[in-house]
Amino acid sequence: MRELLDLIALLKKGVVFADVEEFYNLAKIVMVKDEIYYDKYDNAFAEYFQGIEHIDIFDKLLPEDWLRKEFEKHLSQEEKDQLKALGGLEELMKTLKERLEEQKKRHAGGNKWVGTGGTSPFGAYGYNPEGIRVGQDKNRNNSAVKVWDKREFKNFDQDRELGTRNIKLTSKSYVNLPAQVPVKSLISIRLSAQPRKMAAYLMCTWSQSVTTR
Amino acid sequence: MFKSTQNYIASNDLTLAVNAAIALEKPLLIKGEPGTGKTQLAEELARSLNCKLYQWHIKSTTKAQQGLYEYDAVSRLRDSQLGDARVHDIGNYIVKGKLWQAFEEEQRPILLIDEIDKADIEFPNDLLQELDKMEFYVYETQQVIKAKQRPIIIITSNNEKELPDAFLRRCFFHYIKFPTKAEMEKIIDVHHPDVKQTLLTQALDVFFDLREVNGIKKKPSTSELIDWLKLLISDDISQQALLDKQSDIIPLFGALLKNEQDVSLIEKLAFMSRRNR
Repeated sequence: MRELLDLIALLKKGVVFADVEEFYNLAKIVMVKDEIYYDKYDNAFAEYFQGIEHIDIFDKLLPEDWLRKEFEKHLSQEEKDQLKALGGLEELMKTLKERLEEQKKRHAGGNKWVGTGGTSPFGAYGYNPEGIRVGQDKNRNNSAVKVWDKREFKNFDQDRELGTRNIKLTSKSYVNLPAQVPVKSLISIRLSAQPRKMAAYLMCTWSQSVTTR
Repeated sequence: MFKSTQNYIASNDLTLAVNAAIALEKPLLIKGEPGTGKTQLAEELARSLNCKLYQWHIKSTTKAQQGLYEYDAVSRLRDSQLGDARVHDIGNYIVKGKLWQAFEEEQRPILLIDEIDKADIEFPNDLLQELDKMEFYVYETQQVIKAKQRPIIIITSNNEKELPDAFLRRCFFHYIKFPTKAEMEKIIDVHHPDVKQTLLTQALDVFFDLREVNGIKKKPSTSELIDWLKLLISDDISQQALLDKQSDIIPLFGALLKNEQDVSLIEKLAFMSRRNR
């Protein structure tokens, strides 16, 4: 209980803001008191927060005009001119819809069809000043593999096979080792409804629905 | 706000842990393999925040009371027999411990409780109230000593004993992972800025391979790597031997392997690989 209050107090103070990995780190610092539980924490976190970056809560709530204006604010002057060359943002969106219907299969490189790595104005992982990002749901600069999926602390988990280090620790411990804690119960002990809302609020960082690069 | 200094490279989650502990004024428990910079963290933190550092190194004979104060009854008895006037005030014979000194600081200090797991298993339990409320009662003078400013408390542990739950509940916890190759390069850059790149990469490869060897009793740590590099830099012959990969025996391995069994294991492996060639 105390740990939960501490976590909420820290969030209120703004020690971390709107970043999944930072939240993962912070909650780990506050809630997990021994590295033998780190692996369980990783599993619980992965299971609980799976797919949360794909939540698009702003999708229906923000008016399109506002979105467009925000987007245009981020373009430089030349990019704006180039955009005009293609007939403006609205035109672009219409063409995208049409192209998507024409295109039958996945495509890479090239400069007309919607695909990856090319210079067509549509697609992902490529380069085009007035392009629209399609099918790429997070910023390319973020690492694809999340820290908790790496499972770095597998060896510390007490339920794992006993290796040399683990045997040394167990023989030194004065207290009996705890029984295996199933992952689901870990979630129910440590997390409750309140931080879920806050977590969801924090997790959905404002990622632009369109990008130029 | 704490971050890596010139002399100390701290990972992101470590800086987050320190900042969280400072924000909520709770003690921070740090664990990690020996030689990963746990004690140094407190020193660097004091330097970067520009505040006083109190270091309390725990031994196996340390009692919690010693951190608060000690009452020197023997001196008092001696003085009373000599007729010294100081005898009348018992406060003259109270020797302040580290915690008391830290509590009395005007500006928020840092208190490092080093290797708390060395002491008796009940030791952390004896400090619970002091850590929580930052105050304690002196029986002899009937005063309550309360902290003027809550000090930042950093506690390190080598994982030799399990710490009691009540104690853990009052702290934040962080485990310092062993640095990756990239982080290790940065750390070495701080200590040996002018080491040749070829030597560095070769030494790091050998070092990390050595850590992966199954059956090694004591894995070499960061401080041992730094010492080894220092020896290599000053001894050109070994440097050459390492770079040329002539012998399979690591030059100057005495700096890395501190165990007879480890040394003989490595020699055996070297012999076997030479035979397989």
